[in-house]
Amino acid sequence: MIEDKKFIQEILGKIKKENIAPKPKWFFLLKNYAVWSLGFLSLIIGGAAFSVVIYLVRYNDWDVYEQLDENFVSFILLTMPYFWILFLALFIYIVLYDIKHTKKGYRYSLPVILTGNIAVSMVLGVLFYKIGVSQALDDILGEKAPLYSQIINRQMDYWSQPEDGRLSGLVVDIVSGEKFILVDLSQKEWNVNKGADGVIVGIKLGAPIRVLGKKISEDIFEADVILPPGKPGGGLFRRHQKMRFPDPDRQNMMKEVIMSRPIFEGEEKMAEIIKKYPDLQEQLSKVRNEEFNIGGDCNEDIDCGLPFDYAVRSNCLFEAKCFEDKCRVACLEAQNPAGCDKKEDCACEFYAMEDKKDCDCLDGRCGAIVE
Amino acid sequence: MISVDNLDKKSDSEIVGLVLADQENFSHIVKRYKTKIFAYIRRISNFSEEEAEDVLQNIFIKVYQNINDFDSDLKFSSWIYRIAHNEVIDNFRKNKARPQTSSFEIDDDRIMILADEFNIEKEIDRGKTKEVIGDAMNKLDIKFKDILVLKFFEEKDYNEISDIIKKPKGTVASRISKAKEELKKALNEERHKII
Repeated sequence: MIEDKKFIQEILGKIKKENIAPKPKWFFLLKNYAVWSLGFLSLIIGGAAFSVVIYLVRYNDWDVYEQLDENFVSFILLTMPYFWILFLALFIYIVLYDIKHTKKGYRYSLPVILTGNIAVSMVLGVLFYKIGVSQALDDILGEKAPLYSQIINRQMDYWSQPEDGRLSGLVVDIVSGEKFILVDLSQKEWNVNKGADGVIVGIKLGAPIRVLGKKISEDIFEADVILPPGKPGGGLFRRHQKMRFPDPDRQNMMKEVIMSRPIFEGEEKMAEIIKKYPDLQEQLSKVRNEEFNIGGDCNEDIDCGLPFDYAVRSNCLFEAKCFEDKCRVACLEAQNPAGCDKKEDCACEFYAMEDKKDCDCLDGRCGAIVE
Repeated sequence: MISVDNLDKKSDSEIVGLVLADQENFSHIVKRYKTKIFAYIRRISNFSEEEAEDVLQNIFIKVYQNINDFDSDLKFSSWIYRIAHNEVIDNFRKNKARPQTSSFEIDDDRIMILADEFNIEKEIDRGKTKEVIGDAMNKLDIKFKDILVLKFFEEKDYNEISDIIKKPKGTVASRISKAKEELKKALNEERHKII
C-alpha cells in the first residue's frame, strides 16, 4: 500500500491543482430545505387528493343506484375515483421517497413511514374535505381540465351512457310539459320525451339535469326519471354552459346596459353608455328612435311603440301615446278610465308616490308623461 | 497548520472544524483513516491494490468536498465509511464483470473470531481456515459481504452500520442474519472442496 506521506501529498496536490473546495454550507442547507419542502408539498397534494376521493365517494349517488340497472359491485367498479386514488398513491410514494432522502430518514422503517404518511394524508384529506378544498378542486378541474369526465371524474362518464339509459346535459329548450331539448356533454342535442310512467319535473332552461330512461333512436330519449345534477362535476356543466352561451363579457355588457336604462333615463345616460360601448350606438339609437319612436313625430297613438321595459313594469299602466304630435310614454290611471276635465279630477298623489311625476288630465284621462 | 501532537488529542469533529479553517489540516483526517478505509475497500470489493488506491483517493476528495455536510449527530467514522461504502458500491456496479483479482484479506485475530462464530476449525485444518473463509466471503453478494465486513472486521455496532449503509436498524439486523446464513452455505461448499 502506498505510504502515508506520499498519499497525503497526492491528495493535497490534487485539491490545490484542481482548485477543489468544500461545497458551501448553504448548498447543503438549501438541499435539505428543498427535500423537506418537496415532502411537505407532496403531503399537502396527497391530502388534497384524498379529500377529493372522499368527496367523490360521498356523492356517488348511493341513494340513486337502486334505480339504476346495475348491480352494486359493477356500480362501484364503474364509478370509483381511480384517478384520484392513483394520484394519492403517487404522492404517498413521493413522500416516502422524500423522507428516505432526508438526513435521518433512513433510520425509520418503510412500514413506519408508510403508516405515518397514510395517516397524515387521511387527516389532511378529512380537513380539506371539511373546508371545501375537494369541491373547489373538482369544480376548477371540471371547468378547465381535458378528459375530465373520462379520467378525473368517471361519474360524469357513467351518466353519459344513453345506450344504458343514462343521459346528462343542459336543458336548452322546453317544448312542452312532456318534451324538452337536452344538449349532452358531447354537445349532441337530444329530444327528450316523457316516458309512459315518467314524470318531467324540476327542469329549468339552461340548467343541468340527469335523465334515467331509454334511448329510442339516435337523438330521441324517453325519460322515466329526472334527477338534479350530482354535486361533483358542477364545473363541467358550467364549462358547457359557457360553450353553449359564449361571450360572457358581452352578456355582462348587455346586462349593464339594460340595468342602466339609457333609453329611458335621458340623453345624458345614453351618451354615457354609448361612450363606454361605442358598438352599441347604432343599436340603441334604433331602439330609441325607430322601434318605439319615443320622442318622434306622430299623428296618432299607433305610430308609437311601448318600450319593453315599460311594458313589463307593474307599478303603472304605461301606454305609448301620441301627445301633442310627439310619441310619449304615459302612466295612465287605470282606476278612472272614464276621463277627466282638469288636473283636480285626478288622484295625483298616486303619481307623486310612484314616479314622482306631476300628473295632469291628458287628453281626457288622468296620467303623467314619464318619457 | 496545527502540530501533529496537538491534533492527535483532538476528536474527529474538532479536526473537521480545523480543516474548514485550513485545508492543510485535511492531511490529519487522511492519515487517521487511510489504512482503515483502504482495508475496508479491499475486503468488500475485488479491486486490485492500484484500483483500490484510486478509489481511496476519490473517497478522500469527496470527503473534502462534502465536509460541510458532516452532521455532528453522527460519528465522523460512520460518515466517512458511508462515503467509502457508496463509492465502492458505485465502482463495483460499474465494473461488475471484472475477474476476481484479489484474495480476501483477514488478519489472524479476525480468523479466530469468525472460526468460532461459524464452527470452522472443528472440521478442517487450522491452516486452511483463512483460505476457506476468504473464498466463502468472495462468493457472497456484495451487500452481504459488506455487512459482514462492517460487523465482524470493522467491528461496527448496529447503529453505526445503520448510519453507514443508510438502512434502519431492523433491516441491518435481518441483513446480518441473512448474510450469516449465506456465509454458512458458502463455507459448507468450501469445506466439501477441502475435506
